Amino acid sequence: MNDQFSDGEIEKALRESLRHEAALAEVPDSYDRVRHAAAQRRPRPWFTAVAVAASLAIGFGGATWGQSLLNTGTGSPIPGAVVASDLSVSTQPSRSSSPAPRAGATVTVTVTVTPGVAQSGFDEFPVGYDHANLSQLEQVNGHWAVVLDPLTVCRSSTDKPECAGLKDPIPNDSTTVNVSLKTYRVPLASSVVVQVLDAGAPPSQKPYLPVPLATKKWETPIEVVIAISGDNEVTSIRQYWRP
Amino acid sequence: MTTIPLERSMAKPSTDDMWLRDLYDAHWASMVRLATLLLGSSDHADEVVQDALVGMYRHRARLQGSPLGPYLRRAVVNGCRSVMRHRVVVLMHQQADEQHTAGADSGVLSAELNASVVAALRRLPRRQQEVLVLRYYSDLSEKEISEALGISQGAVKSHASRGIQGLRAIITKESIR
Repeated sequence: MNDQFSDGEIEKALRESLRHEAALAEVPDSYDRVRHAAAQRRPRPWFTAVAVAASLAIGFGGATWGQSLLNTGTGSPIPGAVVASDLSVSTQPSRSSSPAPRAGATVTVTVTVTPGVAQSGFDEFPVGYDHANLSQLEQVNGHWAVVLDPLTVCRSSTDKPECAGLKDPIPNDSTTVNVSLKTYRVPLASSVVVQVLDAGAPPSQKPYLPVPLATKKWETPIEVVIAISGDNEVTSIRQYWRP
Repeated sequence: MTTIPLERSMAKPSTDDMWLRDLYDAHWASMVRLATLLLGSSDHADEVVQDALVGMYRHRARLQGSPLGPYLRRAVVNGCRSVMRHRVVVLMHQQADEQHTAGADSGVLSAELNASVVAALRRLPRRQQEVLVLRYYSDLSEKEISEALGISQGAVKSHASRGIQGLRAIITKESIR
């Protein structure tokens, strides 16, 4: 190349080279890591010192108080989290407690749960899962519902008990593992639309497409990210894109 | 009485989770690629984007009603600048330590690097690189670039023009060698 190349030619070469370079870039799916980081609060050294001093001054009770404040930073709950005091007052009354909790979990709280009664024809989706395989959209007793098979996201074989058996390193940093032998028929909240990606394209390139409310069966279930309300209704459901 | 693990209760998706999920799905891949180009490698690219997303998540109340894409892009550009500043300091120390060992190999390495336009881009001043990447990779307008970089549109035009001239000069120089 030399001076005979025009600006346009250099611009074209630059555009193509950048796109080529970008296409080679590794883009790991790190949503769980981002979500985890987002749920953390930045430590405040002065606050830690005050809490420790208070704990020392007023004994174990103070330590517990200080720790609970440390866990929540400003005293307000971490987004998406439920603090122990909340749990002792109320819980999701009608949610199943299976499947098995993570083996490493050490904090448990005792709560009173009113025996739940599932709506007729529906299953109670297990708490704690926001990924699932979607296999069916159907109407049950006049109410639209989806058939879901819960998944858990694994970033390594030691991430969770369900991840044992995976081989490290896990390609693209994460994968999903089916955690249940059972599928769950869960009602859609009113006005919720199932959204899928056009031909599996990343959402940055193509928008989600709404799935019309009509009986539909996916021969190959699609991975979805879901949100479920306390009364066991799907409040958001859209296809999960993995690079 | 039933015992419920606290950890599982914390994992319950919320509206905030979905806000983050939407932002992640919409921008994660493109922003990691942008960061990779701005940084010149994928090292730290995902960390920069993660920090930007987490920062936005923490201030989401203030962002209500604002377009999130341009805000995130600007946060990513700023994050990349921080990483690059750190790298410059590290490189300065390394060069001071390794000055006496630089020999014939460096010429060979330069020739390999200069084989591509992107490699030539890396030799331009930082701001010119940023403008060219946002212009020719992200396809942003001068106005959008000026917002992402916090500079005037006139400065964007100037950096773009000088950047292209600089690229031509580097490529010409390398082809003469």
